[in-house]
Amino acid sequence: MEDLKKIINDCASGKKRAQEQLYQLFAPKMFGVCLRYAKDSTEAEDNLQDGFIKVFQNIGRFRHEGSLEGWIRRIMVNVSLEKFRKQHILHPVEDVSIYEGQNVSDDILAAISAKELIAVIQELPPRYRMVFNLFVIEGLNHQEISEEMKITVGTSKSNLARAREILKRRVKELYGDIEKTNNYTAG
Amino acid sequence: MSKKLNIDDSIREKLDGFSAAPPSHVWDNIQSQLDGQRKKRRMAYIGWISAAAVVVLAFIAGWYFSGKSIVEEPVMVQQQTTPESNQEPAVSKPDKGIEIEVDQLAGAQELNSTETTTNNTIVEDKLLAEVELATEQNKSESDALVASRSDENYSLLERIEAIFTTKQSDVSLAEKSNETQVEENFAADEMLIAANLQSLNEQNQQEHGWIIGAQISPGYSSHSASHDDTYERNMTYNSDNGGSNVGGGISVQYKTSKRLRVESGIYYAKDGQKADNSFNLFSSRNDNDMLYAPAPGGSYDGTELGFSNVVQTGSSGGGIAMNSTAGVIEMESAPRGTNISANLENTNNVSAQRLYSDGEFSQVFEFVEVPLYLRYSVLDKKVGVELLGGINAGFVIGNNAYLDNNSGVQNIGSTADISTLNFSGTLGVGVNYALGKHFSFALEPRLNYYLNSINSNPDVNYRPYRIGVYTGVYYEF
Repeated sequence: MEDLKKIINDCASGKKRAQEQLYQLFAPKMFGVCLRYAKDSTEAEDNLQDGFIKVFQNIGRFRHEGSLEGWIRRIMVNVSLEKFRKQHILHPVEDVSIYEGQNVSDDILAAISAKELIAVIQELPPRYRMVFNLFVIEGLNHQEISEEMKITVGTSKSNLARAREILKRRVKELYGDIEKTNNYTAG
Repeated sequence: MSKKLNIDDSIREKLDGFSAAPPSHVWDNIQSQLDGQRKKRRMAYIGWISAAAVVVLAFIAGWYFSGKSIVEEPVMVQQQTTPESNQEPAVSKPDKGIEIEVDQLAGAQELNSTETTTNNTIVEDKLLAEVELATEQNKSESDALVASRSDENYSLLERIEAIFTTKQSDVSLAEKSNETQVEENFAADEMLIAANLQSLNEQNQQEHGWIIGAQISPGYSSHSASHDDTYERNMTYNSDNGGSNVGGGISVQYKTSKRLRVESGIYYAKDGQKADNSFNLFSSRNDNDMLYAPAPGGSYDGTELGFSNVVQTGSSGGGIAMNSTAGVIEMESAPRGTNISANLENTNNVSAQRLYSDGEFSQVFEFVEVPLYLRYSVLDKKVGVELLGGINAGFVIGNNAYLDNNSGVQNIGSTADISTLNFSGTLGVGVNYALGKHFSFALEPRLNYYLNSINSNPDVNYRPYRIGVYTGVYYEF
């Protein structure tokens, strides 16, 4: 880890090569993170760019306590959230009662690729997407999400439930066939 | 555990480690944005450099406009060659000693570096092994998960229903149990990163750091001087000869960036002038004086070294005062081996007298200088080139006048009105040669020029300067 420390220190003193090394190390994974929070890959690219600028500006303050990846990841999530706050303050939320009762199995989820899953997540209404990501993948609880996004705990909960509903419906719509095929082959 | 977890789990499993190569234009954008910020910082450096340039210009201007200028230079340079030949053997000896020592150190360092590389490969192997182990562990864990899942003998429908009806409070509980697994993944990732970095391991030069150095400087010192008319009338000999001497000191540098360094330290330096064989000048200096001056005696016939100047007795506490180039020299009594003649023919001017001696008169000032220099590295390779410039606070610690005649070298007194604190400017070029990772050998011709007259007497403007070749070693931490 000494070398990572060195890269961090060099980044802090503005060395170009160290910055590039850091970028090469973490960009793919962080692009994956940004893709989940964005509506499309253009927005994800923008967030990745803004996030890394923040990383390089603030890396001097990184205390070597937690993992660097966790730290960078938090910056990416924060940049994504910030953008969301600016853009979607009054974003209308669809009535999702029509989606209720949609079920999807693990088998379908297992069969579709991460890329396909991300495409479905990107289709979610922005706030659902944020709550879903924060809860399911970042592992925040509803209390934390409500503070992070300035919404009530109840809203967070219902947004998560609705995000799940929509996801299930879309996955079933798009990839339901897989389940059938699987069943047939299994049978 | 509730079945609801499974969908969140499987989504997380799928997405947590997901990575995708971002398009290359993202990095290009980041770089250009960072470059923009760098430029701003560079502007700040330009501010510093221009400040240094102003100091340098002031320094050159001071020299140029200080009355006595370039015309005298050839004389000084000629003088330099003779006395320096005496100095050289004394200087070259310690130099050799230093070189040998440094060579040995450089050798030791090479040995060390080979050792560390073997260590590195060992560490690498170890890390790789560890990473492999970690991934194996993960694999077995996920295998176990799959196994437990297949054990579940719910029908598909039941399972789906169960997944979506469980309360969310259960989920957060389960979240915690999952956290440990996620952390393990991070640890494995970090080890992978470490292994990657190990292979990327390249030596970067440190941008910040301290450098200490020790130098000795064989040099030549002289001065530029001008005097008030009345003062000059009572001074038959205005010396413009310099002297060779040895100075030196230690320095501390702090790297503020890759190319820029700030230096301070403490140096010892000597400045002064000699007045050897002044008879030729005496006879042509002032025709009025010649009328009343006695003809030089046999021993002062101008073929041997000799000295003569106007003095005033009884003026400063019963002593003898003599106007010299650098100021009024106060003597308590007539030095041994000197004669004082009075101009008794002229009753109006009875106190104006003349001091004669064979031998050589010299006036020496010793300084302790505390510099503040800015160094800019023009070339930063095995052989490096640096420019340096800045100012010194010069404290006068020695102020003596000597007469070297048949009676030996006598300290005849000191110069009055010399300021203790003076300021000088320094310009230099340094050539250094790296002797291993930490040591370097440097040769730095420097010109040091006093910005103010070191004599506070308004009739005297005396500004010493010194050209020295600072030779020494630097150690970089």
